[in-house]
Amino acid sequence: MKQLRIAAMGVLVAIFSASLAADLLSPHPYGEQYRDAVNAAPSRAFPMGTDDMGRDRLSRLLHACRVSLLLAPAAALVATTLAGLLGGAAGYLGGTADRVFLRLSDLFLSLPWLFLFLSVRSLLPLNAAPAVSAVATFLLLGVLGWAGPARVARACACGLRQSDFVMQAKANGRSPMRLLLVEIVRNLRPVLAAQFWLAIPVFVLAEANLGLLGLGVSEPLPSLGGLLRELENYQAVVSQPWMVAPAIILIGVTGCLHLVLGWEEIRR
Amino acid sequence: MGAGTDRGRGDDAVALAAVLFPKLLSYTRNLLLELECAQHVFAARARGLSEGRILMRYVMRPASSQLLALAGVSVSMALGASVPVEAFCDLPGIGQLAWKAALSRDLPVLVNLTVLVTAVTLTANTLGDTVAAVWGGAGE
Repeated sequence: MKQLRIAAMGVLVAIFSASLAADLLSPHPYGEQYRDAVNAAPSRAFPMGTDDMGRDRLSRLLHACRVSLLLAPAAALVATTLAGLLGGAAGYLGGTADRVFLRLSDLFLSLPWLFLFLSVRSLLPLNAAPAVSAVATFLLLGVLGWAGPARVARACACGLRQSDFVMQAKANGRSPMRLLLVEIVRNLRPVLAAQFWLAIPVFVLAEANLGLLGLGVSEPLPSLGGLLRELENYQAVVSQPWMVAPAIILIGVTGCLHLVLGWEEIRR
Repeated sequence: MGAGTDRGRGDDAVALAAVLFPKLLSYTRNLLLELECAQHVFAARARGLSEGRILMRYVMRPASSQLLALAGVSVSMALGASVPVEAFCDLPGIGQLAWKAALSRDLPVLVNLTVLVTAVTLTANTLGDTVAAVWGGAGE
């Protein structure tokens, strides 16, 4: 089991470093169309063939990994920061603020998340610039994904409120804002770190869902979800089996993250 | 989800079940493993009860309220998963309606669908909690 986890870590490091070095590794620009080699089979010039617009699949896959695997942790960071601040404040203040927080997070937890994403995403313009749409998609995931981690943060902050060091800081005359940020939120860090790691595979999959529906990152810029859209054409997949590479990468990344996170759990 | 043909209905259900099954399995497994270590299960085993009886009366019974709550939550997960499944398999259902509404910027449809789905989810959760409360009360 331990070897399996080390192997999973190796796969993750390899995929992440390949996606970071996408500009160096990819043989062609991701948006360049080679009109004379549309739907080409793998060859020396196009190691994984080209898609139906004549774009090199390998370059698109590398850039898609970069978009999905770098922005998902960023979205997780946004979600956990929001969770730490809101959950910490609710747990620390208690009373009415806590009750409002609980009702609000209940509402967010009971809304089916994909319907919520669809509604909010369709408020944003579809014809935005590709980079803007990528940032907007993941920012949306981060902003809407706060409720679960925030409940955990609140539960821990409730325990911290009664602790001796918070009492001492209060007696020393610290301002409430400073108390919240220094004494509460900083001590929530281990909990928030766990929530951060758990959120990454969820956000990678959420982007894949949105991309599959054509509501994620917009076209010239590739993302893992966007590349999965091609699999809709079953006949093409049978004749060009290398098209399933994005799906394999996606399953590999989420599976490996799962294994590595399980390891963290046991060590703790 | 209301699919047009018999073939479509089967595909949809199988795909949704495949999405939900692993999540439910791991949660249920953890829950039952936790109960397996409880004192009363140990005592029942010491009394020489059969494994099947222990599983049904001493492990499943106390877990039933949480399992029913899980069933309520899984309705929400299934409705969420139905969007990509129906969009991808071209099945006419709530998920596909929401997807088409999102693509064509049909906000009234989207908002109403979200409210409808939330109502269904809340009803399922409440139903699960109620049944669990009634059963749990009868068991004690």
